Amino acid sequence: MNQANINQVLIVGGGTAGWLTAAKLAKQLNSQDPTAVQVTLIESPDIPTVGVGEGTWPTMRKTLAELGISESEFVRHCNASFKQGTQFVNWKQAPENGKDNDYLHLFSSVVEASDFNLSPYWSLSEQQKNFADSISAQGALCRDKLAPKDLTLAEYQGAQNYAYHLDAAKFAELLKSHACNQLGVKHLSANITAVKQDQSGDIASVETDSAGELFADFFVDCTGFKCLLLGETLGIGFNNIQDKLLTDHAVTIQVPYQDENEPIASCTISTAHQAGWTWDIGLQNRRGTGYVYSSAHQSHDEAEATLRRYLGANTDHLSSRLIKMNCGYREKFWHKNCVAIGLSAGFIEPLEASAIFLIEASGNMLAELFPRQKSAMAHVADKFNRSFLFRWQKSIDFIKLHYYLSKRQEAFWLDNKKPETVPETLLNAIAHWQHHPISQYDFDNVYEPFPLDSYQYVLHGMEFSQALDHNRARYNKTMQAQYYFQRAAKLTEQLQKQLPSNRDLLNKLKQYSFQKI
Amino acid sequence: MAKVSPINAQAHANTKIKQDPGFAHSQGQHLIPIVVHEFAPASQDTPIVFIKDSETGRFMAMSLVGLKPGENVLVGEQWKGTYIPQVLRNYPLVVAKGKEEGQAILCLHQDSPLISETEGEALFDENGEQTQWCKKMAEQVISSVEQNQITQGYVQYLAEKQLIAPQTLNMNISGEQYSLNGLYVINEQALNDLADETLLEMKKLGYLMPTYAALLSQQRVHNLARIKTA
Repeated sequence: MNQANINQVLIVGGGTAGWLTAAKLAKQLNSQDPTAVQVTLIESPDIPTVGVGEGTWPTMRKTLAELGISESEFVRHCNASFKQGTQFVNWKQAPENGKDNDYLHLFSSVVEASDFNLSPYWSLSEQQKNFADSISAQGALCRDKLAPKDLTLAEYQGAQNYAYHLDAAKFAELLKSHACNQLGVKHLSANITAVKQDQSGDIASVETDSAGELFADFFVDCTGFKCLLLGETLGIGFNNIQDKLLTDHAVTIQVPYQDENEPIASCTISTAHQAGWTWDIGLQNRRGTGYVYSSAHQSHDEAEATLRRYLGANTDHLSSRLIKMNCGYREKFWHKNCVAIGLSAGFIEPLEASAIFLIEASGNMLAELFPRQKSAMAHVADKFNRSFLFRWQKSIDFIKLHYYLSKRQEAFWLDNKKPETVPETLLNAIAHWQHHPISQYDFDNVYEPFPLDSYQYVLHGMEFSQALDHNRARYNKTMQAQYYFQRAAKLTEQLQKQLPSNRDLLNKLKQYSFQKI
Repeated sequence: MAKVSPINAQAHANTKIKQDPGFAHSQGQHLIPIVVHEFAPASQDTPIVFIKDSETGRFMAMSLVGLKPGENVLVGEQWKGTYIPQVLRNYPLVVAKGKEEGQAILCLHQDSPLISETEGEALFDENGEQTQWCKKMAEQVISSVEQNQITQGYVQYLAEKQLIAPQTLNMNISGEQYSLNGLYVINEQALNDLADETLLEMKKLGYLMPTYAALLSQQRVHNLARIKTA
């Protein structure tokens, strides 16, 4: 048994994953105390970050609050905006006679489904409104491009649950300055020339071109798709998921606003096209847009033309960037004394903004279970690997669900519905949900990345046919359900009057700040 | 927003300002802005609370004069409090910021019922000069602006030290339930838990007396209930 202590952590790679992990570790392990674990981050001055992860989950609020970052400063520095969910346009089916169809996946419901599930009551009722508008005020707020809060609410508090859209490069910059100046992270800028292992196979050190040889007890691989430590050095293989999720490329374009008062959407807009889908994310100073597609179904030129068609006139002069997506995840995320976080751990198409969310989850678990002794490593590694294998698989299931329920008829969409491309766990669940509402017991793992509520927004939004009539007697709390439906309607009306536009609130934040209380 | 216009010798040559001992213009306001210099006397009558300005998110100090939105129990033929907040005494005069930095322009609430041509104190004399009364009022109004800035610094200090906390005011008066949201009050526990150096800093800044005045004033809600039911 090796009783050696783990005192030094070296994070290899900056970017969102590196800096978020560095900040979380240093904060939670109290690295400012010299007897605590010390965190160093080395980044290459020459390798650019991928930096297209611009959507977060509401978990980011807790992350930022815990790190002690002011929300107003974060919003200002990262050109961030408030996000209340995702609007899925033309996912149900292709537009008919030029008319788009859409649904919303929101963050807030009038009551959490685990407390009282409105889904069966909505399914069994004479539906006047779509599911999202029946159970949440947030759809109306998204359509009106309103913010989820106003200046009278304290930082990180919302009238509705919310997340952010952000500029990933600026975010890494903010985290870097906070981690180095406030949390005791040491920063080195150098290129790695070799990785050295000891006899046991652990990583012992990295050699660099300008910072000498760096030794550490524990290494975090945040080297992006390259996966220098866990993949190239320790030889951990990669599970390709191309057979399940068919997209393999993205073409991106940043679109400036026409004028400084152009409304800013308060949700991500995801629009389905012939061989994939576009994201459209409104930041303060520009929109970030991109088309995720399958190169087997559409050429790169046609794909770029699809994105430009979506963006409309006046965007021909804007440059585009092509990104090859290596979709899949590592066979293990933690091996020996090395854990991979971020793109090095895996990548899945950004349909539900899982990238940053999984970085946060990895950082949290690593910090919480951090082994202070080498002998504890194998146990923690095993827990971590099982947990993240589950999270990646469930994330794939959830994203696949969006494709599987679509009635679009193009080859890409039909191929996505072929049973051999659908995880068995998802097929079984869908078969069950045809005659039963989703239950909290379908999501009873603590590591469940997407909650019951998320599945319901997608299932009902996609007009999944769920027949519950045979079991109507089971759902007899109709008075209570009616009460919640009415409360959602009332709240919608009230918040529509009360809340400022996303643009207005963001403009005000340039001058004013949220209070701490 | 009420219309205000700068006063000048031509337009207001004959303008007079009446006095209203009941301060009826504040009817319909359950919160009256006050400055920190008024905390001691104001705390004798009403609770001193803090609210956030929805335009800026900044905290403002207020004298609570009603138990529900739109209610002012102190308005009457005579003001029913022992202390009359300065902002009421200044009315209908007000200072607006000029185009240049630091410039202050004396203005008048145009729609005020206190404006008259026959009754009250004249703004200008027959030579077109400001009357003594007008000069005195101008001084008072301008000093309010300075005191406002001091108050803003003080209130922001309270917020940063988290010495105020949200409080919903719930009262049952003769069977009727009253509830007011969006109010913040001095948090006694936080005040007691202050680090010595912060306490010393507050002492040096002159923040202790108004803070304790605001804390004690929370009891004055019963005073409002008594006046309301009298």
